[in-house]
Amino acid sequence: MMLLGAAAIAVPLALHFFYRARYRPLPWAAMTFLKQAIEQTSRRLRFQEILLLLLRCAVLLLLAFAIARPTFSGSTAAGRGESVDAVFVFDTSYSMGARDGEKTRLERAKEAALTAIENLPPRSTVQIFSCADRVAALGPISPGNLDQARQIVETIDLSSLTTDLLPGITEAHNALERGAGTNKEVYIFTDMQKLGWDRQAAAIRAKCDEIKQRATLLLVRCGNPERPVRNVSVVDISSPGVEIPHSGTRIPFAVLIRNTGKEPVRNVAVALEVDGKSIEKEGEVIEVINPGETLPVTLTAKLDAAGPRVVTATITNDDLPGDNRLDKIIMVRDQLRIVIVDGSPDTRDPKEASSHYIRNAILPVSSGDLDNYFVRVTVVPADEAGPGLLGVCDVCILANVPASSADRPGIPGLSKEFVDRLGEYVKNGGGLLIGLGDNIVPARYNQVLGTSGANLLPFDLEDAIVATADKPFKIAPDTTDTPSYLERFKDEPFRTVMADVDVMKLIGIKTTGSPNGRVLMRMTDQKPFLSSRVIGEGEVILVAGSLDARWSNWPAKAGSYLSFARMTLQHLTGKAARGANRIAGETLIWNPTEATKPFAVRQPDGKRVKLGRATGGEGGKKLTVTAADTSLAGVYQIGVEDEEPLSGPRFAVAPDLRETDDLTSMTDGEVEQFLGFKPVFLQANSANEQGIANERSKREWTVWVLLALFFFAVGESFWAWYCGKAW
Amino acid sequence: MPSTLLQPEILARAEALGVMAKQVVEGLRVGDHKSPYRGFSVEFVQHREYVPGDDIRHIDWKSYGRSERYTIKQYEQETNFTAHIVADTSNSMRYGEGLQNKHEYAKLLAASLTYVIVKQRDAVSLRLFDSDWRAELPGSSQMRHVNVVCKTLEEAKPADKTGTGALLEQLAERVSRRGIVFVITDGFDDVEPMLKGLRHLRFRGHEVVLFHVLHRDEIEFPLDGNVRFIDLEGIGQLMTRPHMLRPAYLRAVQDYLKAMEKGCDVGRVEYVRMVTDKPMQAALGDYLVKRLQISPR
Repeated sequence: MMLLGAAAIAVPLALHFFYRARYRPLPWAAMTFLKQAIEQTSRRLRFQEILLLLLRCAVLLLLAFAIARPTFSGSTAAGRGESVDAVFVFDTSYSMGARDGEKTRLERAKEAALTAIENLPPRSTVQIFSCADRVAALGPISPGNLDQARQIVETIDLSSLTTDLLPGITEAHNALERGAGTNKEVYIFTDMQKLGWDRQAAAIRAKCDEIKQRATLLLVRCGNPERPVRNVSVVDISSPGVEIPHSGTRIPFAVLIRNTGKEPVRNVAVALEVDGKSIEKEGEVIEVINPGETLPVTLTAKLDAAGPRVVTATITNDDLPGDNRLDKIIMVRDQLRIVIVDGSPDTRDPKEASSHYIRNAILPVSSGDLDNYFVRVTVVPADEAGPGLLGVCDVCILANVPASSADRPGIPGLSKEFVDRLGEYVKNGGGLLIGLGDNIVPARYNQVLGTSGANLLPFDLEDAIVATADKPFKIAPDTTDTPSYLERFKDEPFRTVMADVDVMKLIGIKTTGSPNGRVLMRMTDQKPFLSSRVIGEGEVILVAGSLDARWSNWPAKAGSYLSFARMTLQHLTGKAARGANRIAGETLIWNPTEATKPFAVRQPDGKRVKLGRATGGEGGKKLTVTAADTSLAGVYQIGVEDEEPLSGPRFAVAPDLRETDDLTSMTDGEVEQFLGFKPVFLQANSANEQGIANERSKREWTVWVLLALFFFAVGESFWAWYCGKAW
Repeated sequence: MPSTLLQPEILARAEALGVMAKQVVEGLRVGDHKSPYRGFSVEFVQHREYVPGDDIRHIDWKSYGRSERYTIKQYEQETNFTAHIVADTSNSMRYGEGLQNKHEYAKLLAASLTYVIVKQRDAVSLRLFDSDWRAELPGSSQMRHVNVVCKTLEEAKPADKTGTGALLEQLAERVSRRGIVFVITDGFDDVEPMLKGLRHLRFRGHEVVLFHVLHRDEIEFPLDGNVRFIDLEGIGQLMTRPHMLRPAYLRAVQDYLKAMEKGCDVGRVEYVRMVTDKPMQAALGDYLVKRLQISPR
């Protein structure tokens, strides 16, 4: 159209020459004066003619321009009439579930989106995406089907994921390519949480700039900037003591809650339940929790049955429900079976046996109650330690056991079969605690259990180091590596009792060249004392000293020794549950023992999603079933597809708490500064319709062009009259 | 003098011209110009004191103003002089419609002057010119000479360009006896040669009167619209919008007219502007009245 309009400027040009034919002839005598007059005014006359021609050309050009309904760039933004290819990106991180007024942010986003759809010109298209830290295309199947788009908008749900707008913005940019029209708009419905912009700031900036070249970027603010969100999160559920959860007991749990908002929250009700049994729910009301404050709330729960149990902590009375619930799977045992391989048994004086103190630490009950105690300990000498033992134990302890019978003459060591089976045992989730002692030949240990052998040790061993009697080695609890299960040794009273231990002899640990090992605690002279290594599903804990009283007085320091033993057991037995506790967005992995049929997963909202068949199983590889879509927090269960109910393992998925670490929103000015240009800002409220219409109108130049056209036309008429060349 | 075979229509028109001239002159007698005139006198002789009975029309009022004494101007009585009428018949005189046509106007003026002068028994010669002499009639004081003059005037058709200056110089050399030279032209020629020619005539002792015949359009340039001006004396054309040029044109015309008046004044040539929209009777009458009121040079 503009080309047609441009061609129209040929009209005044033609008329300009046409006028030449309209001159009336007049014979004239006083030509001399005429010529003089023309000479004096020729420049002025030429200027007038050119100006008139330019005015007339400008009028026609402006008219053509106005007909073309030009818009501001980003250019491709629609004026009121032409169809629009719209892309909607919904921020579905759970901060959008905040209620900062009468409605939640998501509700406002939906209303704004529906209004935007209503205001789309005819023949417009819509493509809808949801985005938390990953993007999902929601439809519609046919972008021109606005009814389907409306339905999709109404069914949008939140996730338990954190905010990262880059995937959504990237997909929106790609979606622009698929639209066939020239007028494009990208709407991002978000609460403008700073986290979502900062995480991949440079990439977001670059992508928004690309979008700006092709479309109008509209940021629809769905939060109420004037009303701060009061929020308390359930951060963790942990066992404050050293108890290993076992059936038939009521054990305490510490529910950690944190105020992540900027306002105090009052009367927060904290509750705990096991496997969804509200009858057994225990609760407490916190009168007030101030901004930034973290409070542990101790509640007890009765553990009836053994196996993986879902412990759920909930809170109420804040504005953001997405992080008000935390599910955690704990392994409840009816029995804990421990095998201690004693490298120096002593039937005559059991106290002299290497296993004596560790056994007693593990069995803190009187001998009369042993049968009723859930921990079953089997102590065997090294020559009786067969591979079969590892099939029925949860934790294996090697106490001063030579790596092989050849290490110390007359002192039996580990058999090859046992060592081989030990490796498998640990990989499959078993826990191994190794205490050293006089029977240990470091070089042989390395050959059998270290890097040259089964490769079970966190680090290879070096020669023994002996302290002087007046200057024993001291343990430094402050060197505890965090996070680790021994963190509590950094705090009192564990810290003092640990520092009080005198160690007379140690085996040196070669920490270099073994990237898989981890030093958990050191001596005051930085020599490693406790180290660990995760192997497959299991873990190995190595004590550089002995577990008996020969090399240190540690067993005598009950507070330290007992705590270490219980914590270690708790840690090693708790690994079975660790794989079952994930964070939203992480993949669930299960290794079934057999897989003849396809599998499915039941999500927290009750939906079943097919997972297909298990992979692997050939060449010694484990069968593996994965479920990648864990955007909702809650309990998932995997099982055979047509099974009802599903009998596979449960997984507890927690919301990604990074989302609520900082609920700060960016202001319009901050966003503009961040992007380096000014997008269109809209507030998701009842003024949307007018707001969007006004924005489209503002983006049009038409009114300004018509105004300019009016002035030019008036100017042309006046000038033409003045020059005697009126139409 | 060119000889022509007079066509009946020319004769008729010549007669009509003579009648019109007569009417003009007679009109001067009895019309608005009640002032009597005594014809033209060439020489002023002297003043004498007024005595009762003298014609009070000859009282020199200027002298009275100076001396508060009544004196009578005395002229050379019954002087035979020849009035030389020199009329421009170049193409530039073709502008105008009807009686406002400059050529027609000039013809009527020339015929009227001829009638007046011959009526008082003075001689009139006629010369017509454009770039050269086109007609020359020797002086005669006979009444039938008026018809001849009229016929010659009627036969004359505007043609060619104007070459006034050089022709006036020639006239000054040819005419030895002093007389009155009436130059009737639109003056659309080089100003300096024209003024030089007039001054030459003055130098030769003639009384020179320049009748500057112009159309109102040429003075005021009231044209509008889009006009293609076609040069009457050339081949050039100019397309323009007159109203855009008007201020500059008027400046040019006024400069020219001032130059003509000043040149005539300096050369002691009597300058009479004759605009063709003014009826000849009024125009000639005004001139004759004015002539009576000022001292002859």
